Amino acid sequence: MPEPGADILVVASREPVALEVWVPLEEAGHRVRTVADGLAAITELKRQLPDVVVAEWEAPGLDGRGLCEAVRGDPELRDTHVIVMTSSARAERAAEALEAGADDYLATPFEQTELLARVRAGRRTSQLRASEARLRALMANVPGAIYRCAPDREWTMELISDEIERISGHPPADFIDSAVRTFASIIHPDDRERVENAVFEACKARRPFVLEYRIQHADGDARWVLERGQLVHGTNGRTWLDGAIFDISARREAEEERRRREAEQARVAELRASRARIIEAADAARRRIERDLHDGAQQRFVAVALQLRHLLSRLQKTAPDAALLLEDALDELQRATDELRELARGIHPALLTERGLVRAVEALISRLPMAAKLHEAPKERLPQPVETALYYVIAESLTNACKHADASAVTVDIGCAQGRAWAVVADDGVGDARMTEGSGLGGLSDRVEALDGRLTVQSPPGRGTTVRAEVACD
Amino acid sequence: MGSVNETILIVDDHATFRRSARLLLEAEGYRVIGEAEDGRSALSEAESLEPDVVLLDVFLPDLDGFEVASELTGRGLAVVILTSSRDGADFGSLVAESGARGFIPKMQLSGAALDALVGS
Repeated sequence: MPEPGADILVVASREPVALEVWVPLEEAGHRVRTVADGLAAITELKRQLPDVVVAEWEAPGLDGRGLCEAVRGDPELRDTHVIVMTSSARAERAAEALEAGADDYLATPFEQTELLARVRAGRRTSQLRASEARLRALMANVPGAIYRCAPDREWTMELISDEIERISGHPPADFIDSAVRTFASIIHPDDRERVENAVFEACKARRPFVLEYRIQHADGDARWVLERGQLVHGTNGRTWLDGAIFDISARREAEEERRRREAEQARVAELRASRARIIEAADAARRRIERDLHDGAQQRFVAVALQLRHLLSRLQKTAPDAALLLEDALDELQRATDELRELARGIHPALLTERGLVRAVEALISRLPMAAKLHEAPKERLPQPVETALYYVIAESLTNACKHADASAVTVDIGCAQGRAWAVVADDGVGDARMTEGSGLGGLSDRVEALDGRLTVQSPPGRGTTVRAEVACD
Repeated sequence: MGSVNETILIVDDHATFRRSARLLLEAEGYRVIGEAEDGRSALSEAESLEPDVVLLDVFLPDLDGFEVASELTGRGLAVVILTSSRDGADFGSLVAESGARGFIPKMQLSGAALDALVGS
C-alpha cells in the first residue's frame, strides 16, 4: 500500500542541490518546501513542523551544525527528524553531524533510491516520536501515576510516570528498577499484605484488580491511593503488571469527615434524646407526686374540713365558745390546704396535664397582677413534653415580668406549624434581662434544647423583654 | 335555709369526699339521693334520680367535669354546681361556659355556700 506523502523541508543554498533533492521527492509524492539557509529553516519549522528536514551541512549563515543545535535546543522543535547531507570526501563530517544532533546523514553524491529510503525511514521515526510524545503528554496529564512493573513482591518498576512524585513525594527514578526504594516499601505496613494478596489473586484469576490502600508519603503522612491494574503476558513469555495509581486522599478524607460528622450527629441526637428522656422521667415523677398530694393529703384535708364544718354547725347551737375555737381551726386548715395546693402546683401544674397548655397559661395569666393577654394559641393539644417545656418557659417569663421587669403589660403567643412549636412572651418592662447559667431561664434552655429547640432572650435596656422558645413538635 | 329538702346528687371519684359532703349537706337540710364516682354514672344517675342539684367534681376519671356539666344543663336535668380541691381561678371562663350555676372550692363547701348559688 503506498504511503501518503510526507511534509519535507529542504534546506539548500545552492540551486542544483535543491533540485537534486526536491525533484525526486516531489515525484515520489511528497510535499516539499525549500529554503536557502538555516535561519529561514527555523522560521519555516516554527510556521509548520515537517515530518522530515533534509539540510546541507555546509551552508552560509546558520549551517547544518547550527541548525541541528537550534532544533534540539528548542522544546517545540526538538522531535523533528533531521537528515544532514555531508560530503563523502569528509567522512568525519558524518560523526560531527550526528554529534550535533542530526538523526541521520546522506553522503553526497547519493542515489535517489537512498534519498527516498532515508526520508521514508526518517518519517517513520518521526511518526513514532510523535506518537511517543502524545503518549508522554497523556501520561503526564493523567491525574494518576501510570506504571509498568514486575509481578514480584517489590513491585519493581520498569516505568512509572511523574505523577508518582506528587502522590508519594519520591521522584519516579527512585522506583525504576527499585534504584533507591522499592514501591512495596512505601505501601503502608498494615496494608502491604492485603495489597500483595489482592494483586496475586487477581493475576491468578486473570482478571484486573482495583484496590484502595495507604502509602507513606515522603512527608511522613499516609495517603490513600486507588490502584487499577492487570497482569499482561508478553509474546516472549515475559509477564508484567500495567496499571495506574490515583491519589484519593481527598475523597477518603471527605468520607472520613462525613463518617465522623454522621457519628457526631448520631451522638448528639442520642444525647438529646437521652436528655429528653431524663427530663420526661423527671416530669412523670413530678406529675406522680402532684397526683399523690392531690389524691392523698389534700383529699384528707378536705374531708377533715367538711367534717369539722359539720361539727361546727352543731356546736354553734350548743357550745358557741367551742364553735369559735373550731372556726379558728378551720381557718388554719384552710391555710394549710392552700399552702399544700401551691406546693403541689409548684411541683407540677395539674391543669397542664388535664386541660392542656392553653388553659394552663390562661390560668397563669388570670393570677397575674398586671395586664396580660394570650394573643394566639393553637386549638389542638401539643405533645406532652412540648406543652411542659413551653409552659415552664412562659411561667418563668411571666414571673420575671412581674418580679424584675417592672412591666405594666405582657403578651403571650403560642403557635405550632410545620413540625415546630413556639411560645413568645413579650413585656414592656425595663429590659436588660440576661439568660445566665443558674437563672430560671438558663435552666429552661436545657429543657428546650432537649427538644431540638432554642431559647432566646431579647432584652435591650429600656425596651422590654421578649423571650422566645421554639422546639421540634412532631 | 331556703333549700331545705332540695335533692342532690354528689359526683366525685373520692369516696371520703362523697361521705363527708353527704354528712355535712344532710345536716344542713339537703337530701342526698345519690352518689356517682365518674361522669358516665353521673349522667345516668341524674337521668333516673332527677335530683334538683348535682354537685360535680371538675376532674373525673372518665369524662371532663365541664362536659358533664354541659350535658346535664343542656338537657335541663339539674342545677349543676362544680367543685374542686383546686383553685377556681385555674378554670377561668370554663365554669360559666359549661352552663354550671357556679363553683365552690371543696374546702368551702357548706349548705350555706350551696344555698347561695342554688337559690340565686
